[in-house]
Parts: sequence; C-alpha cells; structure tokens
Amino acid sequence: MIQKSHNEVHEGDAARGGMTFWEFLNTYVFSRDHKVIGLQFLFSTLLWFLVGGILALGIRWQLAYPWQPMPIIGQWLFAEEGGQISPEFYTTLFTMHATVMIFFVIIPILAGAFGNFLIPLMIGAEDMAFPTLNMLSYWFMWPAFICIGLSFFAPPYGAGAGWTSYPTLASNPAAAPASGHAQTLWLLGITFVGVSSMMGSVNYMTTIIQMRAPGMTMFRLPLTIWGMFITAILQAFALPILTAAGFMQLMDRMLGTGFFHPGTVGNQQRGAG
Amino acid sequence: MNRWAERLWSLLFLMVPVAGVGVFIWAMADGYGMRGHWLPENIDEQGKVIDSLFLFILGLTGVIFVGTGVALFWFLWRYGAAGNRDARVRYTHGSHTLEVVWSILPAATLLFIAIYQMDAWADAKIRRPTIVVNGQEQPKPPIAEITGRQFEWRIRYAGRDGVIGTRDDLFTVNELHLPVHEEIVLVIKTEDVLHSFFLPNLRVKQDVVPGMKQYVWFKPIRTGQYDIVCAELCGWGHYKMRGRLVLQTREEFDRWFEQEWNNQELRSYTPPEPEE
Ligand code: HEM
Ligand SMILES: [Cu+2]
Repeated sequence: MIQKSHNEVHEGDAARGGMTFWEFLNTYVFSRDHKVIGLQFLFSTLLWFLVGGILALGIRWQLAYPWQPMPIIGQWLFAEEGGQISPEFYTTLFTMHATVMIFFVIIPILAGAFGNFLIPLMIGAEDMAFPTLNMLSYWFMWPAFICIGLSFFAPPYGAGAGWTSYPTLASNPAAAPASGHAQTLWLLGITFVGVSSMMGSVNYMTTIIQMRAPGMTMFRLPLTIWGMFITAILQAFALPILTAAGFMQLMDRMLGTGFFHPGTVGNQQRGAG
Repeated sequence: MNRWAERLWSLLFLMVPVAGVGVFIWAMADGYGMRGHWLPENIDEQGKVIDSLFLFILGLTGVIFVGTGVALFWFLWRYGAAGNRDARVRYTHGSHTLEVVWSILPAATLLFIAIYQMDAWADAKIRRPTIVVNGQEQPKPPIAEITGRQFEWRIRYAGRDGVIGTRDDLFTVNELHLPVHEEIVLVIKTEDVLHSFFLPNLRVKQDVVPGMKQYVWFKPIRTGQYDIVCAELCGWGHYKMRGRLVLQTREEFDRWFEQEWNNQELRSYTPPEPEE
C-alpha cells in the first residue's frame, strides 16, 4: 500500500531536481532507504549519547563529592535537598544513565545505524529485504524516545529500579516509592525499543540470508556481517521474551496482576510476610 | 606520520598492558591509594577455593590481555608506514587453519573452566552440610533465619530447640553473632524485593528472591567483626543496607545468646506456627 505510492513518488526525484513537501517527507523523514534510516538512527542515538553522558556526570559528581551541593545547577534542581543529590535521585541517575546508554545508544547505534547502513553495502544488496518494516523499526523508536523523555518529568524524575528493572522493585509500585509513574513510562518506552529491535532483527536476518550478491557465499561474508547476523539471531530469540516480561511488569503495576508477586492472587496482594 | 610519532604512539599503546598489570600488582601489594582494593581478608575454610578460581581466571585472562597488548605494540612499532616505505606488501585472503585454531582454543578453555569449577560450585551451593540423627544423615538445620527487607536484615535464631518459629527464638536486627569453627547453615528470604546476602570475608553471596527460601553455609575460622552487605539494588536505601557479623568462640557466643535472650521482651508475644 504505502510501498506503491512511495515508488511512484520516488521515481522522478533525481531527474526533476526539486521536491514537493510529500516527496521530501518520503525521502528524508519516512524514508524506506536503508542509508537514510541508518543516518536517522545514528543522529538520534548520538543525541541520546549526550543525555547519557550528562547523567553520568551527575553520578560521578555524587561519587567524587558525596553529600555536597552541586555547583550552579544544584540549587535549581534539588532545592529541597539543599542542592545535593538525594539517595532517591542517585538511583534514578544511574538507572537512567544505563538505560539511555544501553537501549538508546549502544543497541540502536550498532544494529540500527551501522547494521542498516552497512549490511546492504557489504553483501551487495540494493536495500533491506523489507524497506517498509525498516522504516517502521526507526519510527517505533519515537514512542520510546517520548516515553523515556516524559519519565524525566514524572516525579521522581526518572525510573529508579536499575536498568535491569528487576521485579518486584520495578513491578510493585509500593516497593520503590521513588519510582511512581516514571517506572511505568520506562517500561512502556523499553517495550517500544524491543518492538523496534525485533523488526530490525527480522530484516537483518532475511537480508543476509536472501539478498547476497551472486558469488557472495555465507563464508565469504565479511566478519562484520557475521557479527551482525549472529546479533540479529540473538535478538530474535531474546526480545520477544523480554518484551513479554515488560508487558507482564506493566500489568502488575497497572492492572494489579501478580506475575511477579508471590502470594498475590489476582488483585489481592497479601501483606508482606 | 613520521617515524617519531609512530614510535610514540606504539609506546603509548604499550602502556596499556603495562599500566593494566601495574594497577593489579599495586592493589595486591596494598600500595598507596589502593589500600583495601584487593580481595577482602578470607576467613572461611573453603574460601581459598573460590579465591584460587578467581586468581586462575584472572591469570588466564591476564596472559591473553598482555599478549594482545604486546602484539599490538609490536605491529605498530615494527610495521608503521614511515619506517617501511619501500617494503613490499603481502596480501592474504584469510587462513582457515588460524580461524579454526582461534575458535577452538577459547571454546576449549571455557569448557575447561566450566568443568573445573563444578566441584567448588557444588560445595558452595548444592552440598549442604549434613548431620546424623538416629543413624540417618539429613541436612543440617539452619541456626538462624535472615529476612531482608528495605533496608535491613532481620535475624531470627532457632534458639535452644533448634527450630525456627518457636517461643525460644531470639530476634536481632542487622547484628549476626555466630560461633567459629562450626558448619553454619542460614536460611535466607526476603519480605519485599530482591536483595543479595553478601558476606565478603566468607566468600558467600546469595540473592534472596521474593517467595523463595535459600540456604547458605560456610565455616568461619577466625573471630572478629566483619561486614554483611546487600549486593542487589533494592531501592533508594540500598547503599545503607548493612549489617555486622560478629564471629565468636562457642563459649562467647552462648554467653551473648543467653544475655540477649534474657533481655528480650516476650510476654505479649505469641509465636506464629513453625514454618518447617
Ligand atoms: C564517560 C562515560 C561514562 C561514565 C563516566 C559512566 C559512569 C558510570 C558510573 C559511575 C556507573 C555506576 C553507577 C552506580 O552503580 O552507582 C555507571 C553505571 C553503568 N553504566 Fe556508565 N558511564 C559512562 C559511559 C557508559 C556507556 C557508554 C555505557 C553503555 C553503553 C554505560 C553503561 C552503564 C551501565 C549498564 C551501568 C550499570 C547501571 C546499573 O547498575 O543499573 N556507561 N556508569
Ligand atoms: Cu537490599
């Protein structure tokens, strides 16, 4: 459906030189071209790299000068704590630092940016096997960006259960008073990252298996491509499980299910003990 | 790059293995600025098994680390472009033999470690100490139950009858007294979230999982005061979830127990049903 209209638009581009708004949208925004998508991933992740780095600075400040007010921004950010980083906010800092670095930098930059850009070029394919799926895999990162971004604004300003989000700390809203809505937004965000990576991994596997140029046998593939191939396989195995677990944590938090809470039957949570 | 810049860069890269090894030696020697950064004092009978496994793997990875670092240095030093302007290049399309060798060697090494550590693992996690009752061998019952909760360790001693959950139990918080030179079994659980019961000096670390009971055992061989630490992020107060382990001779321990027991206010207390 989208595919057809896109092809029609795309054909005349180069010849005409100029572009209508819709052509621009199709070429650079909702692009189905692996190089453009690769670059979109690259620049989005570089921005998040900056965010992760700033959070790391906060962690290091507390470790280097424990219980001292942070200069300049301390009074503005943590006025109630006299400009200091509180223990609650410290857990938030390293949770969000690691989350951003792992799920919003390393994974999308290696698979999303370099995988997209390099796989077709290095195996001699014209593009990915499923260009539309490829486009969707990038745009599914945006709900993730938005959820994680919002979680910085929902008290206590970021999730605080560690980047591994272990239950019951992460799944029981009462377990971490410091996590609140931020943890829910975190789980939603990570679920979107998981869906995005799944779409990517299907694409990488299919492309590497099906679209190699004649003569490019599996054993002539560059080692980089082998690395990405194995990564895609691992992602295809791991992500559905992680995503399902994320949903289960969300349901525990929002609907009162008891997947991770021993002694819970339906909505009834037994008191501790 | 000119010859001197190449030399400088190769020496800089050589500093990686040199500094890497140096930092470890400095830490082992308790050198200035690194005090207390090496392994904590071991006071467990079996602890040296864990330590030697650690040192064995450290040595193995250390050799590979130094080897690759030195190889990198040598190629930079010897084959830089500036010093080899007229040298002829040799092209290679890869070597199957080499690839097979460097795939099989690490695989075999990993397999070796996996098998080599099995006994230590079984001793630490599977073969719980036993006692003989009426001619029958059975698992040794725990001397105390430790319950992690945000952010403290609640301790409940079995008391004289050896059963946890009866009226002669002794309760403490964050302070665990134990006799030395005896096989100690503890049952650990959690009231809320994941915690990890960590006794660094006894080389014991065990996650406590909501809804599960875990057993740990060890045999301390030295008296003194040591740390109990939580080793799994359990919320904002995780950093202060600490306890004190006091190892005493049997007589001292009994005396302490008696005294605490006498101080314990139990008149209004009805114990819940025994759990085991
Ligand atoms: C200048 C760069 C960085 C600095 C100074 C830094 C600093 C830190 C510090 C101090 C911690 C420990 C926090 C604690 O447990 O109290 C930490 C945790 C962590 N960092 Fe970084 N980091 C940097 C870059 C990165 C990068 C590039 C990644 C990954 C791509 C990363 C991933 C993580 C992870 C996974 C954790 C564990 C967090 C947890 O336990 O939940 N960091 N970082
Ligand atoms: Cu804890």
